[in-house]
Amino acid sequence: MQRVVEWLYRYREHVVAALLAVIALSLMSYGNVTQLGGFRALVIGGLGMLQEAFAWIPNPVALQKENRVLRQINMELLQETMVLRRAGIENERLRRMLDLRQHSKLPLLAASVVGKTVFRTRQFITLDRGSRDGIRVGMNVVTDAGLVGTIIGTSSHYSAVQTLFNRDVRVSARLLSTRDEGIIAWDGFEYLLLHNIPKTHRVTVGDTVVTSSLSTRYVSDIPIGIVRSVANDPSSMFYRIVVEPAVEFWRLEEVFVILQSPPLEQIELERSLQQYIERRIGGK
Amino acid sequence: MTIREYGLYVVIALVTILVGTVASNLLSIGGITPDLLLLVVVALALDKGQLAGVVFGFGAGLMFDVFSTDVLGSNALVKMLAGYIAGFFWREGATIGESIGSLRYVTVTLLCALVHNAVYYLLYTRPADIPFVEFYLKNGIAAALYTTALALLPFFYASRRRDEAY
Repeated sequence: MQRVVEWLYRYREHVVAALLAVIALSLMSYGNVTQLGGFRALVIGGLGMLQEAFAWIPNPVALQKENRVLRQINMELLQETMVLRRAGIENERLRRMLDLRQHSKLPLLAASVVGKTVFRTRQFITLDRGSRDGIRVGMNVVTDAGLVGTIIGTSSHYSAVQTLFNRDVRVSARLLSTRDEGIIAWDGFEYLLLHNIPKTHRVTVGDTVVTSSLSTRYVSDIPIGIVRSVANDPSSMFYRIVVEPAVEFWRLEEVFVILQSPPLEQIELERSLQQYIERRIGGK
Repeated sequence: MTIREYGLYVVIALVTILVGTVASNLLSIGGITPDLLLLVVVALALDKGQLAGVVFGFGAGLMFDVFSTDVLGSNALVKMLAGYIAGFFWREGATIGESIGSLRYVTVTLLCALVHNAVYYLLYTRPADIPFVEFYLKNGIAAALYTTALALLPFFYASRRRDEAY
């Protein structure tokens, strides 16, 4: 016994390291930090206040990039204005002719981005609105261009948003023209990937990808992006579809929170079903 | 290492996490951010030894997990690993100024950052369809170099202080 203790003491650095590694791996298998509840709200509130206080300090590299893009967008907008004027008149006429109902308006809450946090390519943004304004975890965040992400935490005055550029994000999506359903995930770099579209289906470059009505976490028909390329992977029965995000995440300043909580009952039911299936598979 | 010294390092770690979080967007170049906390973990391991580096790396990483909303335990593991590796380069009797004011600090930071990022990205990309090698070559190495570049600041400061003392 004494020899064991002596051995442990002699190699204490390695023993402690191994022990802490086991604890760390156990914590990782335990789950997400969002389970820390009230403490999480405290962290979001504190960080939100700090980020708002320092929001005036510009990032020169980002500003330079922003100016270049804004000039380009300005030129494009000038051209588009003329086209849109004509299209608007035509649209109004067609609506009247078809007697289309106006789309039901979603309850939107405008919010300013007071902080952007980048942790080794994981992007979060902090909004200046919180639970006091009716924001709840799971609500969708959008801009006029499309989907930004979802609320992952709130304090009374601030809320944190997980953007689409995150390994953990999966969005049920569909191609607007063909209605084919797939799953959107981050490609690890600057684009998104649309998975699970079989090669037997037709996919066109330039087609719009929107959130699916099958999703319980996302409001349907929010633009996600445009199909940038379609590759034929010989080792797979599905296409490799690269999607360019509709939203320019590094340029976000104002967003809208859709004040509509996800259907918790449906999510809970589906989760229970999944757990049941996993238990059954595990039992066999 | 005394409790008071541990307390001081905990405060330094907390301030580093807060600064890193609030200023992450300002420090970001093309989506790449430096790991300020890693600089503290390596400095402590070189100053106080492997055991202190391992324990502090784990604790500081765990704090970072809570603040950054990362998977609980992921940063604790990689920061602990960084402290473990840096601890091999600890020299008994060397002062903090000698440890940080030598090129050893910069080199060890680079080594630790490369290993730290490799393990972190391996864990990070595993559940997703993200190619690890490509992802690491683009983000991991760039982030390691950025972190090492920032390690030059304490290095120059400490080496200058050391020269003045002589």
